[in-house]
Amino acid sequence: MTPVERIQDQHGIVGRSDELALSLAVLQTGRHVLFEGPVGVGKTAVALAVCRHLGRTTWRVDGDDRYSEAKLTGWFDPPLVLEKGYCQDTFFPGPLVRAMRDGGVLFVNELNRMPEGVQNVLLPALDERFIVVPRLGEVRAEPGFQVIATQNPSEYIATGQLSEALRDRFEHIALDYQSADEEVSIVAGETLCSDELLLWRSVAVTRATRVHPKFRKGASIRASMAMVGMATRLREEGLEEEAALRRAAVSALSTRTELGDEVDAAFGPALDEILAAVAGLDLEGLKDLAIEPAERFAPDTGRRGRERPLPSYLRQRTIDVEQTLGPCGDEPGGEAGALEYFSERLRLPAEEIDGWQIAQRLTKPGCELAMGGMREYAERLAVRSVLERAAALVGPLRGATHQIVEPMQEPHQGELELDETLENLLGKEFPERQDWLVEHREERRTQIVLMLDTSLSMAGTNIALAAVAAAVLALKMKPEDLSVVVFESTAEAVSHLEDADPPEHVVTEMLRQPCRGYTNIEDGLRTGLTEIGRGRNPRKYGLLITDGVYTRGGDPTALAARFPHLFVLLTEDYKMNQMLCRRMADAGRGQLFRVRSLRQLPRRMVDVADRLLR
Amino acid sequence: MTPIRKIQEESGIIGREDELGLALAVLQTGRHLLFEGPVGVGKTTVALAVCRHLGRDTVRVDGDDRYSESKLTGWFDPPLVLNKGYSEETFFPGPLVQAMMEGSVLFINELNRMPEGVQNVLLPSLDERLLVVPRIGTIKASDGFQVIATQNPVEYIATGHLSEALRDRFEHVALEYQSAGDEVDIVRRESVSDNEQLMWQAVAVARTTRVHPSFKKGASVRAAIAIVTIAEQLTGAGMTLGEALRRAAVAALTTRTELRDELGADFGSALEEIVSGVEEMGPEQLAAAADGRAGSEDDPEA
Repeated sequence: MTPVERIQDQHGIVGRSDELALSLAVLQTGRHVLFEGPVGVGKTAVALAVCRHLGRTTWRVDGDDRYSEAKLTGWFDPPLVLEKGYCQDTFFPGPLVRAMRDGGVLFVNELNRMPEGVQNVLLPALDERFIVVPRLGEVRAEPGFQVIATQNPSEYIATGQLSEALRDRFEHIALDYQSADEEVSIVAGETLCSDELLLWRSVAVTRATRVHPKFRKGASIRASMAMVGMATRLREEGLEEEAALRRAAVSALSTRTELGDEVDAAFGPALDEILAAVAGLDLEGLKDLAIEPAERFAPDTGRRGRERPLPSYLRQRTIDVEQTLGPCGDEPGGEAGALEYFSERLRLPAEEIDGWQIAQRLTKPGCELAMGGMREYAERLAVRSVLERAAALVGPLRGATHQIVEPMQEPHQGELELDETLENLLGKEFPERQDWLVEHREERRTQIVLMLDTSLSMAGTNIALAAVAAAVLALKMKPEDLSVVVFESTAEAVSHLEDADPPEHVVTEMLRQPCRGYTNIEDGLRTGLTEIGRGRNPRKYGLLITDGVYTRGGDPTALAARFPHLFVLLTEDYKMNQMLCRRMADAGRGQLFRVRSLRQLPRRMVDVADRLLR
Repeated sequence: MTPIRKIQEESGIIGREDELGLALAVLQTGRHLLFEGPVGVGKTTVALAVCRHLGRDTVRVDGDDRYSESKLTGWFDPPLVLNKGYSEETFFPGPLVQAMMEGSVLFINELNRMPEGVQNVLLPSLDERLLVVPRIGTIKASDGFQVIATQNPVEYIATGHLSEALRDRFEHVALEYQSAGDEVDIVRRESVSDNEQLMWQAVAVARTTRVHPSFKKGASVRAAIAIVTIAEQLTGAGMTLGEALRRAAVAALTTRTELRDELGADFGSALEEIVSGVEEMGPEQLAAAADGRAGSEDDPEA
């Protein structure tokens, strides 16, 4: 029996021979592994099976955005510190230090969800095999210490990205959905069900959700297991075959799938389409459907990232544009038509047309993409290019933090704040828990209403640059914390505070602006104020990008004074009104920033965002 | 033996004569040193080698969010404070104060990853060699106190740039990717492999990703090391060399490279193109390819 077969046998893993062989090879050479694959694909199972096979102790950590450095490395217990000082006795090692001392494996689930500061703690441990714990000293890793991490590629928007330095220290193993046969054997093994027809039906339905155009996100094999279990039980209760399957499918799939953005998308009908296709098929027909569901449900959509995952998941660093924008240009001709159109316009061969060129032209007067699907296709390329430009400027997400001091609730919550604790304890014979004060860093939330000019002068390249600037903000912030207001003769909010519109929505809306009319700063501020009113966070700022020249409406200074804080980013040009911008910033208790030209706006926005979000 | 030769031997550094010479010159004039270079270029290794060569004690700090000001400078021991109050007796020096008092080298790895407020604590100690610690008073640096720092310069435009004031206080030594020959030597040492062909292939593949038009960001020599060790393990388990090289290359390069955003760019086919190109070459061709292709290090980013 080969080692791989032994792992499969002992740990009940079906298939995965290639991945297991590679994992073994990587781990046996003492390297660190990053498993990447969609939810429910078995990352944890494969990782743990290999660790157990190698006889290694594992320390498991589940990453989330509240995970702290102290939890990972260890913490000093505040009451003990007061008694004995900072030393081994008062230090409670976290999983990283334990794994290093024992020469074990640190298994970090969803590494990319941890704050960047916490991820960085791993760097020296990974290649130099030691870390310095402040106030304690060096911790050296015993032989055998390794890190296995997992990350989930489809959650690009909600989660941070691994820094380049961290990625340079991991080997990558991709896990994709398994074949239909393998999925059936796994489900059969887990549910102990021997009804071939039911097994294949459940697997076929689940696999269909991964490719069906109405679903944006399909379900993992766990849905098939749940479906088989429930359907069996329902049949025993006397329900008919079809009804049992439908009920089980509804219950198993409604939380595990996500619908696409199409207007007519509704869960029931979409599921019924799939169930109808499955119903009445014999075992052979079911197998065909389960093995290649795309042939039945999604012909000719080879472009979609979901069915054929991009070989390098990390290609789009911050957001998976393919996935979030979904398929478009279903009508044939969209792609070719759009490329031909721009190729003619720009007098360039079609293969040299890229998203950025399109982004600079979409808003120009007379840009008419008549044929069905053409505009969608062009828009998608443009939006993607804008987002990628912004992502390159922003880098990995790194929330602003600030130090806070508060009464201790849990010992690993923070470090002892000596001064204030001593004051509380002074003369007390029986101190209470809240007398110990601890300090730690916490994320600081800020809400921003961005107000931008989209009048005629902005058409073309200018609005594309402004869209990159808006995307910079959108990528740096949580979606519910940003609102974007565009103004010309009148103003309109294209995204709202508390509404969690994703960055691509903001960019798409901006590139759809007709870019015409006059400039009404006053109305822009008025709409901005309404948006400010929606925000529920105490820290709320307005940010106005303007050259200070208005051609409609009145003097905006009075409205500026009604913002909690209004910052003004002055885009300098020959006709700017510097005085007005200064007045607005002063009245708004904010600051005046300047940028030499719109070309520099995206980069300048990074600095401005850092100042406002700090 | 020249000092540089000695450093190379002591710390197992391959190549880097110019950079080591410059670093030594800076340090011998009592200045502070900042190594800058892309991920995986060996900043930490070179910096530590120089520290070791100077023969002075080194206090190390790894830059990350954990460092508050008090952890860098020093703190008061709580039980002692309870008994004796705040005084020098109850003060425990952090890495910065320790290095200043002992006159040793403070090595700050990844300086730019520290919170900015903490970076600023360094300013007075860097130029005036003084540090004011609340309740203790002013600490004066002993002779020999120097700071050696590393940072990753171009990773992102926005995050973690050093303030101008801080940059102004360091002399700067840039580290770039090394020559193909040097990289093969590094791979040989790290992987303990004796398969020359495989090592040259791995180095050629990694270097090609740095200049190949499909890649926006190429891989460091760590990728070549990974390819060699994993491929050897896989062939040991019975895989053919070609297959093992491909598997290992995918595992090693997926996270370490980035594709350009052009339409239709595809990691699998770009990598296959590189690997099969490299596979067909003989030893001389390999050496030439590894050297020639990695000519332009700088990415002309628009």
